[in-house]
Amino acid sequence: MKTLGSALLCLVLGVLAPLAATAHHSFGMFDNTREVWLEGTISEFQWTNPHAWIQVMVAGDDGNAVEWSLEGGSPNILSRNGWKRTVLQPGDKVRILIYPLKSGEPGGSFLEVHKEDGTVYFYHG
Amino acid sequence: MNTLRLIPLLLTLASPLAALAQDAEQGTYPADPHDMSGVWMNDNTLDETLRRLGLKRLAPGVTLPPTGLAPPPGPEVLTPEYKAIFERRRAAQAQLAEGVESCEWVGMPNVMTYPYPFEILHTEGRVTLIFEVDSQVRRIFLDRAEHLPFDELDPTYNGDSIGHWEGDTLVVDTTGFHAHTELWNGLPHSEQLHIVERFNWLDADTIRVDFVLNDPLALTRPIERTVVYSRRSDWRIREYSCLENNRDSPDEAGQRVGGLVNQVPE
Repeated sequence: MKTLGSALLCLVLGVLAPLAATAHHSFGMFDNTREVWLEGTISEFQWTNPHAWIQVMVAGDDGNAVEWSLEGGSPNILSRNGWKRTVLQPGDKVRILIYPLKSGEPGGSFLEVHKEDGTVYFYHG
Repeated sequence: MNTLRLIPLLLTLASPLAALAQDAEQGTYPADPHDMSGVWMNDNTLDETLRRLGLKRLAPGVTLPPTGLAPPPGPEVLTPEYKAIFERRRAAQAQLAEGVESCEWVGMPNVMTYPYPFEILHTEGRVTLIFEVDSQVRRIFLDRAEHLPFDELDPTYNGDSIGHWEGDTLVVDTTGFHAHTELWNGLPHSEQLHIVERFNWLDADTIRVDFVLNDPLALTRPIERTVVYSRRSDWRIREYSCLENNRDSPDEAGQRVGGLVNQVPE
């Protein structure tokens, strides 16, 4: 049986490696230099591939509710970070930290979701 | 998963090899080295690295520790003809809105490094890899010493794979690709792409795969890359189709179709 030592001798370890890219597609349309908090009410939670989406109604400047579309990871990534398909229900009051769309449209990439009962769900880790 | 075991590999800046050697001495060798059954995950994806470091996001300007593994090369390895193809594709891509995604299968070799896990199954004369990304499958034939004859070797995303054991190393030889897919870093390739993978044990719960990619038309030299995977006994492979609810697909103008897709058709 080959020893681990000889296996390791074959290792080629070199310069710094970039991390594997985000799955599915670039998140370049989101402005990751701006963190924005939204406060609103869940209208729909799409626990779907390739990415989960949170639809949330947020009061606009004129007082009328605006629907925001918030994109996150796939259910496979999120489930390994503690999410389940039932964690968000229509009507839930939430505070959500996002990177907003660069376009200024009501959308973004969600980072943290805080529910009224104190539970918090993170996209990553 | 043994998280502690991986941290030295990631955090030791000066001597990753020393860190890995020390780590291996504490590890165990598999009881049956010809059995790689189980769920495996690339240790150095963004999500795995953030979780290991206890970070909740990659804030701008934050630099993550080096992995100790050499990154795959860029377009400098391409022949002039394929460098021109690379530039043309890049220009076409620039016409699309940021973040659009057509959901094409990723194919080899990207299916091996996509930031989702895969499962290895052993059956008589066969090693099968079931990937989470797009529920892809690679069948590696250990009971066949030759590739399919030319007239049966249909160009495909994942190619025709044959394998054998050299000691405790699983060596896999794959050819028979079409040119719809890209290599790492978006490099184009021809139908003459040929990939050799060597699956080696680092310890009973860690394998590394050494890839060598050759393409006489597209590459001026072989591309070599090593990727480390660890066993995830508590994970199950989930279904994944990129087409299920793709709100980022491009419309005819190359913009994100957007909307609230996930509607059941009437």
